[in-house]
Amino acid sequence: MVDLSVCLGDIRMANPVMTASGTCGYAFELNDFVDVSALGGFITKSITLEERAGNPPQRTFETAAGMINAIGLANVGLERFCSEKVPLLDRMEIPVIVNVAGKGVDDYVAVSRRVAGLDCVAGLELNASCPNVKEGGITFGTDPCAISELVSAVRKACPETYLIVKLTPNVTDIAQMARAAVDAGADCLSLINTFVGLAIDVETRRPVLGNRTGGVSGPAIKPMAVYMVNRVYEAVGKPLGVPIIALGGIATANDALEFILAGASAVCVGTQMMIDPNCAMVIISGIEDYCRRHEVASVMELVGALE
Amino acid sequence: MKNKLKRGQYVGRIGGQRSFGVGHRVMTIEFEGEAGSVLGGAVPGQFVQVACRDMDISRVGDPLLRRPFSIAGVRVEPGNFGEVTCLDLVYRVVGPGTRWLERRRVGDLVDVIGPLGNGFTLPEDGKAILLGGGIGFPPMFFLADELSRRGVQKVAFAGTRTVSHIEGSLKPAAIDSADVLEPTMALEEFVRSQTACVITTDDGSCGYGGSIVAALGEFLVRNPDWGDAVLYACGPDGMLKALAGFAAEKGMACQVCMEAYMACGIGVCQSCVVTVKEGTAQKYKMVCANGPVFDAARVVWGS
Repeated sequence: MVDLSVCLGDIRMANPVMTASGTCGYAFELNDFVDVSALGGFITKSITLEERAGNPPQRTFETAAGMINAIGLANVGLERFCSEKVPLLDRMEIPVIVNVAGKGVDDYVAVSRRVAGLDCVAGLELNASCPNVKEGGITFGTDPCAISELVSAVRKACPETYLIVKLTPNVTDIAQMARAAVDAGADCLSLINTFVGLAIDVETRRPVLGNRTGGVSGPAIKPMAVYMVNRVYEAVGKPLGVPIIALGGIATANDALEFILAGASAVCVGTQMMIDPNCAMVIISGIEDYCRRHEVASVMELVGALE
Repeated sequence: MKNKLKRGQYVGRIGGQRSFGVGHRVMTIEFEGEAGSVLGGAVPGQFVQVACRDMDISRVGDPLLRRPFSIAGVRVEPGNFGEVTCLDLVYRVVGPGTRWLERRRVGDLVDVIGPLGNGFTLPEDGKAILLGGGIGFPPMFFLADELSRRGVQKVAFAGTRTVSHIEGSLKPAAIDSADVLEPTMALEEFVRSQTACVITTDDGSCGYGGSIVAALGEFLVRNPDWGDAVLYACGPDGMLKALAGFAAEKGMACQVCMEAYMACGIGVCQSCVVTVKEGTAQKYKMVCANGPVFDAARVVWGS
């Protein structure tokens, strides 16, 4: 009998597989295809203070072994999230993490304060890494002082809340950002968000995406993501005892295991959920098979077991 | 229409495929059991997301994203082990995904998500004019089948740039017809629903020479009794925009089945948005989840 359960602070999950923000909707949108309750945890799409229409189309484009997107944090906003989506999340039997985004620190604080108090919410994930909005997002994640200011402010407003900070790979040293987030009060780190990219239509000589640039995701970014997770684990996660939620191109159980061995306590599936919603179940059972094959009693034994 | 129809991720089996025109192909995918009954519930205008690669061998590969295909027809046939639902998809080989599809043989497996989106709102009686432009033709075959079952009077227009691009099997009737605006049994796929059709080509290489909207206009002048018909259309944005303008001018109801670059197709990624009027406001709506069928009068057309 393999124990697949993992803990992020006091959040106990039946297995380490979660949904990546922005790829699985607000709650049960994918329930026609996958039993969401069988996942380890659920991370909502980004919620902002005001409703956002998002970027002008075209919003996505397929690239080699991946895709580039610039959705622009399209979401219903805090009020409608609370009135329309929270009643659905109340019925979710697995830990729910709400992803929070904003233009400025005040936005993050206002959304965090309101959402943190909800019964159905196990923790918050601060999106300090969205590359597709003009204000907020990545501007926080690329400056250690800005990330520190953001995390400190939310920490102060929500002292009891489990706080995850989502990091961008678009920096020289991601461990420096990780350290700044933890020093400012983050309980957990999630990485990586997408890589900034540009796709050009050579016929028209114009950018393919309405936003010009976008974020690259999918299998193409996985090796860089595994490296960054290992780097953050060695520099921050392991010495300070801060768990890591890893993501970036996970499509198979093998991918998930690479990240766990690199130092992640949990993993998120994003792009692949949009292509193959059933992959989450395949990944969970694949991790179990691996543990059995390698006589590993608990998946936690594998965290950071890279030699 | 709220999207409460059943849908799912299923594996089907290639029942057969054949080619017609230049590079056009029609593929039949067969589904049994739950997959068969869910996909058998598809309505005209809906689509499926097909993984154009060997998902049974590896979950990763190229092309990464699924490709959306309109449903061109659904039939339930008796099989050796219960009923089999046959889904027809029409495509043209344009890239690695459709090339992969072309190489499938009878019995090969295909991973399909569907049926997706909201179909056309169908009348119980009255008249319907079906307009398909370019690659937008396949859903019209399915729509004609359903209208035929309902006993709705209908006529179709198939518009394309040039004769070799027609997304249907052209019959001699189309070429022999002396009067290009007289609907005939020009397309094989329409014979089963007894739908007469006017062919239009921009270059005049077959049927009416000119745009599909111009042909419709002339047809209505000649046949004023069709003036109260509902227009159902699928095709490139330029054609739909022109048709929407025509419908507004004539006061005709017009439903358009739209396309947009999609990633998920199931309403989570929010990629495939078009601008739609909602009261006095303009909002982005997802083609996959809020469409693909929209009221032409509500769509805000691009330039």
